[in-house]
Amino acid sequence: MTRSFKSGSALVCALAAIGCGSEDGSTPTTTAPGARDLRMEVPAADPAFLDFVGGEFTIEPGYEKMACTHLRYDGSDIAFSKLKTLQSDYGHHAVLLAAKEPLPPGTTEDCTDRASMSKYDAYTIGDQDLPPGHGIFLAGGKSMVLQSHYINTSSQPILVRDVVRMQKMAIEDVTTWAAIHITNTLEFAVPSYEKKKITFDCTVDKDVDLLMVGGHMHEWGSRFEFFYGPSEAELKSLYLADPWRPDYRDAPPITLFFTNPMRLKAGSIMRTVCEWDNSTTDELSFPTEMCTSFGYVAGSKEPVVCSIGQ
Amino acid sequence: MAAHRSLLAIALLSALPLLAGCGSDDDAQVLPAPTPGTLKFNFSTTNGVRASPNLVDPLRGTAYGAIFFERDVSLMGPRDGAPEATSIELANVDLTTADVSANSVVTIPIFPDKYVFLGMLDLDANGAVERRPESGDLATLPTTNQFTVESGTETEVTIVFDLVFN
Repeated sequence: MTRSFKSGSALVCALAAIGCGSEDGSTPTTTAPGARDLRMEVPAADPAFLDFVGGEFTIEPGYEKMACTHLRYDGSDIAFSKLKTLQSDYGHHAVLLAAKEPLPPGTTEDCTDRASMSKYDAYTIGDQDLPPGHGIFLAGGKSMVLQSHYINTSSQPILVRDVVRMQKMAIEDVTTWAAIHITNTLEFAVPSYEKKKITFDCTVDKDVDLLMVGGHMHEWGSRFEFFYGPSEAELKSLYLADPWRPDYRDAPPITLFFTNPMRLKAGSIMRTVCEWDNSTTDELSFPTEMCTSFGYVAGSKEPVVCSIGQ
Repeated sequence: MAAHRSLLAIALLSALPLLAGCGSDDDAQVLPAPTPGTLKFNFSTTNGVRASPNLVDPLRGTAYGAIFFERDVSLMGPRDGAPEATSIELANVDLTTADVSANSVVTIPIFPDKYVFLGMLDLDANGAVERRPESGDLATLPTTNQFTVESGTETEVTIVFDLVFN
Protein backbone atom coordinates (compact mmCIF):
# COMPACT_ATOMS: atom_id res chain seq x y z
CA MET A 1 0.00 0.00 0.00
CA THR A 2 3.06 2.20 -0.04
CA ARG A 3 2.16 4.40 -2.98
CA SER A 4 -1.60 3.95 -3.17
CA PHE A 5 -2.36 7.23 -1.54
CA LYS A 6 0.29 9.29 -3.29
CA SER A 7 -1.96 9.45 -6.33
CA GLY A 8 -4.81 10.72 -4.22
CA SER A 9 -2.57 13.27 -2.57
CA ALA A 10 -1.10 14.58 -5.80
CA LEU A 11 -4.58 14.96 -7.15
CA VAL A 12 -5.37 17.59 -4.66
CA CYS A 13 -2.09 19.43 -4.57
CA ALA A 14 -3.68 22.59 -5.83
CA LEU A 15 -2.78 25.85 -4.32
CA ALA A 16 0.49 27.39 -4.68
CA ALA A 17 -1.09 29.47 -7.36
CA ILE A 18 -2.53 31.10 -4.32
CA GLY A 19 0.07 29.81 -1.90
CA CYS A 20 0.05 32.14 1.01
CA GLY A 21 2.77 32.73 3.51
CA SER A 22 3.00 33.98 7.03
CA GLU A 23 1.83 37.23 8.47
CA ASP A 24 5.05 39.17 8.73
CA GLY A 25 7.46 37.07 6.68
CA SER A 26 10.24 37.70 9.19
CA THR A 27 12.63 34.77 8.95
CA PRO A 28 16.40 34.64 9.19
CA THR A 29 18.01 34.89 5.78
CA THR A 30 21.66 34.12 6.48
CA THR A 31 23.15 30.94 5.09
CA ALA A 32 24.02 29.06 8.24
CA PRO A 33 27.21 26.97 8.41
CA GLY A 34 26.53 23.32 8.90
CA ALA A 35 23.19 23.47 7.14
CA ARG A 36 21.90 20.10 6.04
CA ASP A 37 22.08 19.95 2.26
CA LEU A 38 18.66 18.99 0.94
CA ARG A 39 19.02 20.53 -2.50
CA MET A 40 17.18 18.58 -5.18
CA GLU A 41 19.38 17.24 -7.91
CA VAL A 42 18.80 18.94 -11.23
CA PRO A 43 17.72 16.21 -13.66
CA ALA A 44 19.83 15.44 -16.69
CA ALA A 45 18.64 17.45 -19.67
CA ASP A 46 15.89 15.63 -21.52
CA PRO A 47 14.35 17.01 -24.73
CA ALA A 48 10.93 15.86 -23.54
CA PHE A 49 11.04 18.23 -20.59
CA LEU A 50 11.63 21.82 -19.59
CA ASP A 51 13.32 22.10 -16.20
CA PHE A 52 12.94 25.22 -14.09
CA VAL A 53 15.42 25.38 -11.23
CA GLY A 54 14.78 27.53 -8.19
CA GLY A 55 17.32 29.49 -6.22
CA GLU A 56 19.13 28.07 -3.20
CA PHE A 57 18.22 29.31 0.23
CA THR A 58 18.52 28.29 3.87
CA ILE A 59 15.78 27.94 6.43
CA GLU A 60 16.66 28.00 10.11
CA PRO A 61 15.20 25.30 12.40
CA GLY A 62 11.69 26.11 13.50
CA TYR A 63 11.08 28.64 10.74
CA GLU A 64 8.92 28.81 7.66
CA LYS A 65 9.99 30.54 4.45
CA MET A 66 8.86 31.15 0.87
CA ALA A 67 11.37 32.15 -1.78
CA CYS A 68 10.51 33.24 -5.31
CA THR A 69 13.11 32.82 -8.05
CA HIS A 70 12.60 34.83 -11.21
CA LEU A 71 12.85 32.83 -14.42
CA ARG A 72 12.24 33.46 -18.10
CA TYR A 73 11.40 30.93 -20.77
CA ASP A 74 13.43 31.92 -23.82
CA GLY A 75 12.35 29.19 -26.21
CA SER A 76 9.62 29.34 -28.82
CA ASP A 77 5.94 29.02 -28.05
CA ILE A 78 5.12 25.58 -26.70
CA ALA A 79 2.61 23.65 -24.62
CA PHE A 80 2.90 21.39 -21.62
CA SER A 81 0.64 18.63 -20.38
CA LYS A 82 1.85 18.02 -16.87
CA LEU A 83 4.19 19.21 -14.19
CA LYS A 84 6.38 17.30 -11.78
CA THR A 85 7.64 19.09 -8.69
CA LEU A 86 10.93 17.99 -7.20
CA GLN A 87 11.07 19.14 -3.60
CA SER A 88 12.85 17.74 -0.56
CA ASP A 89 11.88 16.98 3.03
CA TYR A 90 10.10 19.80 4.86
CA GLY A 91 8.91 21.17 1.54
CA HIS A 92 5.35 22.43 1.57
CA HIS A 93 4.93 23.27 -2.09
CA ALA A 94 6.73 24.55 -5.18
CA VAL A 95 4.89 26.09 -8.10
CA LEU A 96 5.30 28.34 -11.14
CA LEU A 97 3.57 31.70 -11.05
CA ALA A 98 3.52 34.50 -13.62
CA ALA A 99 5.64 37.50 -12.64
CA LYS A 100 3.91 40.87 -12.87
CA GLU A 101 7.16 42.73 -12.17
CA PRO A 102 9.92 40.60 -13.70
CA LEU A 103 13.39 40.80 -12.22
CA PRO A 104 16.58 39.52 -13.88
CA PRO A 105 16.38 35.73 -14.28
CA GLY A 106 17.98 33.97 -11.35
CA THR A 107 17.02 36.66 -8.84
CA THR A 108 15.63 35.07 -5.70
CA GLU A 109 13.52 37.17 -3.36
CA ASP A 110 11.88 36.41 -0.07
CA CYS A 111 8.14 36.18 -0.72
CA THR A 112 7.09 34.85 2.68
CA ASP A 113 5.12 37.98 3.42
CA ARG A 114 1.56 37.52 2.20
CA ALA A 115 1.58 40.98 0.73
CA SER A 116 4.18 39.74 -1.77
CA MET A 117 1.48 37.71 -3.52
CA SER A 118 0.25 40.85 -5.25
CA LYS A 119 3.40 40.72 -7.44
CA TYR A 120 2.45 37.40 -9.01
CA ASP A 121 -0.38 35.93 -11.05
CA ALA A 122 -1.61 32.36 -10.95
CA TYR A 123 -0.28 30.25 -13.81
CA THR A 124 -0.07 26.59 -12.75
CA ILE A 125 -1.66 24.49 -10.04
CA GLY A 126 0.79 21.96 -8.66
CA ASP A 127 1.32 18.51 -10.16
CA GLN A 128 -2.13 18.26 -11.65
CA ASP A 129 -2.33 16.01 -14.70
CA LEU A 130 -4.69 17.14 -17.41
CA PRO A 131 -6.89 14.89 -19.54
CA PRO A 132 -5.22 13.42 -22.63
CA GLY A 133 -4.68 15.88 -25.47
CA HIS A 134 -5.03 18.90 -23.18
CA GLY A 135 -2.15 21.34 -23.05
CA ILE A 136 -1.34 24.61 -21.31
CA PHE A 137 0.26 27.33 -23.38
CA LEU A 138 3.75 28.59 -22.59
CA ALA A 139 4.69 31.63 -24.62
CA GLY A 140 8.26 32.30 -25.62
CA GLY A 141 9.70 35.02 -23.40
CA LYS A 142 7.26 34.41 -20.55
CA SER A 143 8.51 35.69 -17.19
CA MET A 144 7.70 33.52 -14.21
CA VAL A 145 8.75 32.84 -10.65
CA LEU A 146 9.31 29.47 -9.04
CA GLN A 147 7.81 29.84 -5.59
CA SER A 148 9.21 27.42 -3.02
CA HIS A 149 7.67 27.07 0.41
CA TYR A 150 9.40 25.23 3.26
CA ILE A 151 8.55 24.61 6.89
CA ASN A 152 11.66 23.48 8.75
CA THR A 153 10.46 21.42 11.67
CA SER A 154 13.89 19.85 12.17
CA SER A 155 16.60 20.87 14.62
CA GLN A 156 19.10 21.89 11.93
CA PRO A 157 19.23 24.59 9.27
CA ILE A 158 18.45 23.21 5.84
CA LEU A 159 19.77 24.30 2.45
CA VAL A 160 17.22 23.75 -0.29
CA ARG A 161 16.70 24.12 -4.01
CA ASP A 162 13.65 22.94 -5.96
CA VAL A 163 13.01 21.94 -9.53
CA VAL A 164 9.76 22.07 -11.51
CA ARG A 165 9.78 19.89 -14.55
CA MET A 166 7.30 20.50 -17.40
CA GLN A 167 6.46 17.72 -19.79
CA LYS A 168 6.56 19.39 -23.19
CA MET A 169 3.85 18.98 -25.74
CA ALA A 170 4.11 20.13 -29.33
CA ILE A 171 1.63 22.83 -30.21
CA GLU A 172 0.29 20.67 -33.04
CA ASP A 173 -0.43 17.83 -30.62
CA VAL A 174 -2.75 19.91 -28.50
CA THR A 175 -6.36 18.97 -29.17
CA THR A 176 -7.74 21.14 -26.38
CA TRP A 177 -6.15 24.18 -24.77
CA ALA A 178 -6.46 24.41 -21.01
CA ALA A 179 -5.76 27.32 -18.74
CA ILE A 180 -6.05 28.33 -15.13
CA HIS A 181 -9.35 29.81 -13.97
CA ILE A 182 -9.71 32.25 -11.05
CA THR A 183 -12.50 34.25 -9.42
CA ASN A 184 -11.31 36.56 -6.70
CA THR A 185 -12.42 39.57 -4.70
CA LEU A 186 -10.48 42.07 -2.64
CA GLU A 187 -13.63 43.88 -1.51
CA PHE A 188 -14.36 42.49 1.92
CA ALA A 189 -13.58 43.20 5.54
CA VAL A 190 -14.46 40.97 8.47
CA PRO A 191 -14.72 42.93 11.73
CA SER A 192 -12.97 41.69 14.83
CA TYR A 193 -14.80 38.85 16.63
CA GLU A 194 -17.58 38.78 14.04
CA LYS A 195 -18.85 36.40 11.40
CA LYS A 196 -19.28 37.56 7.84
CA LYS A 197 -20.59 36.19 4.56
CA ILE A 198 -19.96 37.72 1.14
CA THR A 199 -21.12 36.83 -2.32
CA PHE A 200 -19.74 38.02 -5.62
CA ASP A 201 -20.63 37.17 -9.20
CA CYS A 202 -18.54 36.93 -12.34
CA THR A 203 -19.84 36.60 -15.88
CA VAL A 204 -18.43 33.91 -18.12
CA ASP A 205 -16.79 35.70 -21.07
CA LYS A 206 -16.70 32.81 -23.52
CA ASP A 207 -17.76 29.19 -23.70
CA VAL A 208 -15.31 27.00 -21.82
CA ASP A 209 -15.45 23.66 -20.03
CA LEU A 210 -14.72 23.57 -16.33
CA LEU A 211 -12.23 20.79 -15.54
CA MET A 212 -11.54 21.50 -11.91
CA VAL A 213 -12.65 23.89 -9.19
CA GLY A 214 -11.45 24.52 -5.67
CA GLY A 215 -11.76 27.22 -3.06
CA HIS A 216 -9.22 29.32 -1.22
CA MET A 217 -9.51 31.13 2.08
CA HIS A 218 -7.20 31.29 5.05
CA GLU A 219 -7.42 30.08 8.63
CA TRP A 220 -10.54 32.05 9.58
CA GLY A 221 -12.69 30.82 6.76
CA SER A 222 -15.75 28.85 7.87
CA ARG A 223 -17.55 27.93 4.65
CA PHE A 224 -16.94 28.21 0.89
CA GLU A 225 -19.27 27.53 -2.02
CA PHE A 226 -19.08 28.00 -5.77
CA PHE A 227 -22.15 28.13 -8.02
CA TYR A 228 -22.79 28.23 -11.73
CA GLY A 229 -25.91 28.88 -13.77
CA PRO A 230 -27.39 30.70 -16.77
CA SER A 231 -29.30 32.98 -14.42
CA GLU A 232 -29.61 33.75 -10.72
CA ALA A 233 -32.69 31.59 -10.47
CA GLU A 234 -30.87 28.62 -11.99
CA LEU A 235 -27.63 28.65 -10.00
CA LYS A 236 -26.34 25.19 -9.10
CA SER A 237 -23.64 24.41 -6.54
CA LEU A 238 -20.53 22.90 -8.08
CA TYR A 239 -18.25 23.01 -5.06
CA LEU A 240 -18.78 23.14 -1.33
CA ALA A 241 -16.26 23.16 1.52
CA ASP A 242 -18.31 22.98 4.73
CA PRO A 243 -16.87 23.36 7.22
CA TRP A 244 -13.81 25.17 5.90
CA ARG A 245 -10.87 23.81 7.87
CA PRO A 246 -7.69 25.86 8.58
CA ASP A 247 -5.61 23.20 6.82
CA TYR A 248 -7.53 23.92 3.63
CA ARG A 249 -5.55 27.14 3.32
CA ASP A 250 -2.73 25.19 1.78
CA ALA A 251 -4.48 22.04 0.54
CA PRO A 252 -8.19 22.49 -0.10
CA PRO A 253 -10.46 19.80 -1.44
CA ILE A 254 -11.19 20.16 -5.14
CA THR A 255 -13.91 18.94 -7.46
CA LEU A 256 -12.75 17.44 -10.72
CA PHE A 257 -14.76 17.27 -13.91
CA PHE A 258 -12.21 15.45 -16.06
CA THR A 259 -14.59 12.68 -17.04
CA ASN A 260 -17.61 14.99 -17.19
CA PRO A 261 -16.47 18.54 -18.04
CA MET A 262 -18.97 21.18 -16.97
CA ARG A 263 -19.82 23.52 -19.84
CA LEU A 264 -19.73 27.16 -18.78
CA LYS A 265 -21.57 29.19 -21.38
CA ALA A 266 -20.77 32.78 -22.26
CA GLY A 267 -23.01 35.17 -20.36
CA SER A 268 -23.63 32.75 -17.50
CA ILE A 269 -22.98 33.49 -13.83
CA MET A 270 -20.23 32.11 -11.61
CA ARG A 271 -21.02 32.91 -7.99
CA THR A 272 -18.46 32.65 -5.20
CA VAL A 273 -19.62 32.65 -1.58
CA CYS A 274 -17.19 32.98 1.33
CA GLU A 275 -17.89 32.94 5.03
CA TRP A 276 -15.52 33.73 7.89
CA ASP A 277 -15.50 33.63 11.67
CA ASN A 278 -12.99 36.20 12.87
CA SER A 279 -11.59 35.12 16.23
CA THR A 280 -8.90 37.83 16.27
CA THR A 281 -8.63 41.33 17.65
CA ASP A 282 -8.03 42.73 14.15
CA GLU A 283 -10.23 43.28 11.14
CA LEU A 284 -9.54 40.70 8.45
CA SER A 285 -9.10 41.78 4.84
CA PHE A 286 -6.97 40.86 1.83
CA PRO A 287 -4.31 39.39 1.95
CA THR A 288 -4.64 38.19 5.55
CA GLU A 289 -7.81 36.53 4.36
CA MET A 290 -8.86 35.70 0.84
CA CYS A 291 -11.92 34.68 -1.12
CA THR A 292 -10.89 32.94 -4.33
CA SER A 293 -12.01 30.07 -6.49
CA PHE A 294 -9.46 28.43 -8.75
CA GLY A 295 -9.20 25.61 -11.20
CA TYR A 296 -8.66 24.72 -14.81
CA VAL A 297 -10.89 25.28 -17.83
CA ALA A 298 -10.65 23.72 -21.26
CA GLY A 299 -11.14 25.75 -24.39
CA SER A 300 -8.99 28.73 -23.52
CA LYS A 301 -5.37 29.43 -24.27
CA GLU A 302 -5.22 32.32 -21.81
CA PRO A 303 -5.98 32.29 -18.08
CA VAL A 304 -9.60 33.06 -17.33
CA VAL A 305 -9.52 35.53 -14.47
CA CYS A 306 -12.28 37.56 -12.85
CA SER A 307 -10.98 39.74 -10.06
CA ILE A 308 -13.14 42.25 -8.21
CA GLY A 309 -11.39 45.25 -6.70
CA GLN A 310 -8.18 45.24 -8.77
CA MET B 1 -11.89 -3.66 15.98
CA ALA B 2 -9.09 -4.81 13.77
CA ALA B 3 -5.35 -4.53 13.99
CA HIS B 4 -2.75 -4.59 11.24
CA ARG B 5 0.99 -5.17 11.30
CA SER B 6 3.78 -3.65 9.28
CA LEU B 7 7.36 -4.81 8.91
CA LEU B 8 8.65 -1.40 9.89
CA ALA B 9 6.84 -1.34 13.21
CA ILE B 10 8.01 -4.85 14.05
CA ALA B 11 11.59 -3.90 13.21
CA LEU B 12 11.43 -0.79 15.36
CA LEU B 13 9.98 -2.66 18.32
CA SER B 14 12.58 -5.40 17.96
CA ALA B 15 15.38 -2.85 17.99
CA LEU B 16 14.30 -1.23 21.24
CA PRO B 17 16.00 -3.69 23.64
CA LEU B 18 19.15 -3.59 21.49
CA LEU B 19 19.27 0.18 21.62
CA ALA B 20 18.67 0.18 25.34
CA GLY B 21 21.58 -2.21 25.82
CA CYS B 22 24.15 -0.24 23.81
CA GLY B 23 27.22 1.35 25.30
CA SER B 24 29.87 0.37 27.83
CA ASP B 25 29.98 0.96 31.55
CA ASP B 26 32.23 3.95 30.93
CA ASP B 27 29.81 5.66 28.53
CA ALA B 28 27.36 8.37 29.47
CA GLN B 29 23.99 7.09 30.64
CA VAL B 30 21.86 5.67 27.83
CA LEU B 31 18.35 6.97 27.98
CA PRO B 32 15.62 4.39 27.61
CA ALA B 33 13.78 4.40 24.30
CA PRO B 34 10.34 6.03 24.48
CA THR B 35 7.43 3.70 25.01
CA PRO B 36 5.42 3.27 21.81
CA GLY B 37 1.83 4.44 21.66
CA THR B 38 -1.19 3.38 19.63
CA LEU B 39 -3.81 5.15 17.55
CA LYS B 40 -7.54 4.51 17.53
CA PHE B 41 -9.14 5.71 14.31
CA ASN B 42 -12.74 6.31 13.44
CA PHE B 43 -13.87 8.05 10.28
CA SER B 44 -15.90 10.97 9.09
CA THR B 45 -16.53 13.09 6.03
CA THR B 46 -17.59 16.65 5.23
CA ASN B 47 -20.77 18.30 4.03
CA GLY B 48 -18.83 19.21 0.92
CA VAL B 49 -18.27 15.54 0.14
CA ARG B 50 -21.92 14.71 0.84
CA ALA B 51 -22.96 17.45 -1.61
CA SER B 52 -20.33 16.68 -4.24
CA PRO B 53 -21.64 16.24 -7.80
CA ASN B 54 -19.09 13.42 -8.16
CA LEU B 55 -20.54 11.31 -5.35
CA VAL B 56 -22.58 8.48 -6.88
CA ASP B 57 -22.43 5.61 -4.34
CA PRO B 58 -23.72 5.42 -0.76
CA LEU B 59 -21.21 6.54 1.84
CA ARG B 60 -20.42 3.04 3.00
CA GLY B 61 -17.36 0.86 2.41
CA THR B 62 -13.96 -0.28 3.57
CA ALA B 63 -11.43 2.24 4.80
CA TYR B 64 -7.83 1.68 3.83
CA GLY B 65 -4.98 3.84 5.01
CA ALA B 66 -1.29 4.21 5.73
CA ILE B 67 0.49 6.29 8.34
CA PHE B 68 3.58 8.26 7.37
CA PHE B 69 5.91 10.48 9.34
CA GLU B 70 4.68 14.06 8.99
CA ARG B 71 8.09 15.22 7.77
CA ASP B 72 7.87 12.80 4.83
CA VAL B 73 4.60 14.17 3.48
CA SER B 74 4.13 17.38 1.52
CA LEU B 75 1.25 18.67 -0.52
CA MET B 76 2.42 16.30 -3.23
CA GLY B 77 1.95 13.37 -0.87
CA PRO B 78 4.63 11.12 0.60
CA ARG B 79 8.10 11.62 -0.83
CA ASP B 80 9.56 8.80 -2.86
CA GLY B 81 10.76 6.05 -0.58
CA ALA B 82 8.96 7.35 2.49
CA PRO B 83 8.33 4.44 4.88
CA GLU B 84 4.93 3.64 6.30
CA ALA B 85 4.84 3.43 10.07
CA THR B 86 1.87 1.12 9.73
CA SER B 87 -1.30 0.60 7.72
CA ILE B 88 -4.92 -0.14 8.53
CA GLU B 89 -8.04 -1.61 7.04
CA LEU B 90 -11.55 -1.35 8.47
CA ALA B 91 -14.61 -2.84 6.80
CA ASN B 92 -18.19 -1.62 7.08
CA VAL B 93 -17.45 2.04 7.65
CA ASP B 94 -20.92 3.57 7.34
CA LEU B 95 -21.28 7.32 6.96
CA THR B 96 -24.61 7.32 5.17
CA THR B 97 -26.37 8.93 8.12
CA ALA B 98 -23.74 9.06 10.87
CA ASP B 99 -21.39 12.01 11.17
CA VAL B 100 -18.70 9.68 12.54
CA SER B 101 -18.31 5.94 11.97
CA ALA B 102 -19.61 3.74 14.75
CA ASN B 103 -16.71 1.34 14.38
CA SER B 104 -13.02 2.02 14.81
CA VAL B 105 -9.62 0.41 14.37
CA VAL B 106 -6.57 0.40 16.63
CA THR B 107 -3.05 0.35 15.22
CA ILE B 108 -0.13 -1.65 16.49
CA PRO B 109 2.22 0.31 18.81
CA ILE B 110 4.38 2.82 16.96
CA PHE B 111 7.08 5.24 18.04
CA PRO B 112 5.99 8.57 19.53
CA ASP B 113 6.27 11.11 16.72
CA LYS B 114 4.19 13.26 14.39
CA TYR B 115 2.33 11.42 11.68
CA VAL B 116 -0.06 11.88 8.76
CA PHE B 117 -2.82 9.50 7.69
CA LEU B 118 -3.34 9.03 3.96
CA GLY B 119 -6.18 6.84 2.89
CA MET B 120 -9.43 6.15 1.12
CA LEU B 121 -12.96 4.91 1.64
CA ASP B 122 -13.70 2.31 -1.00
CA LEU B 123 -17.34 2.88 -1.91
CA ASP B 124 -17.59 0.51 -4.86
CA ALA B 125 -15.97 -2.49 -3.14
CA ASN B 126 -13.13 -2.96 -5.58
CA GLY B 127 -10.21 -1.52 -3.70
CA ALA B 128 -8.98 -4.61 -1.85
CA VAL B 129 -6.20 -5.46 -4.30
CA GLU B 130 -4.88 -2.14 -5.63
CA ARG B 131 -5.91 -0.01 -2.66
CA ARG B 132 -6.01 3.03 -4.91
CA PRO B 133 -8.97 5.38 -4.93
CA GLU B 134 -11.03 5.37 -8.10
CA SER B 135 -13.50 7.87 -9.40
CA GLY B 136 -16.26 8.17 -6.80
CA ASP B 137 -14.25 6.87 -3.84
CA LEU B 138 -13.43 9.15 -0.95
CA ALA B 139 -9.86 10.17 -0.22
CA THR B 140 -7.96 12.15 2.35
CA LEU B 141 -6.08 15.36 1.63
CA PRO B 142 -2.29 15.20 1.96
CA THR B 143 -1.78 17.14 5.15
CA THR B 144 -5.07 17.53 6.98
CA ASN B 145 -5.12 14.33 9.02
CA GLN B 146 -2.08 15.02 11.17
CA PHE B 147 -1.61 13.85 14.77
CA THR B 148 0.95 13.02 17.39
CA VAL B 149 1.54 9.61 18.91
CA GLU B 150 2.23 10.02 22.62
CA SER B 151 4.44 7.67 24.58
CA GLY B 152 2.57 4.81 26.20
CA THR B 153 -0.93 6.06 25.38
CA GLU B 154 -3.74 5.36 22.92
CA THR B 155 -4.62 8.48 20.97
CA GLU B 156 -8.07 8.73 19.46
CA VAL B 157 -8.23 10.37 16.06
CA THR B 158 -11.16 10.98 13.72
CA ILE B 159 -9.93 10.71 10.15
CA VAL B 160 -11.79 12.98 7.75
CA PHE B 161 -12.25 12.13 4.11
CA ASP B 162 -12.25 15.57 2.45
CA LEU B 163 -12.41 14.62 -1.18
CA VAL B 164 -14.41 12.64 -3.73
CA PHE B 165 -11.84 11.21 -6.11
CA ASN B 166 -12.46 11.81 -9.79
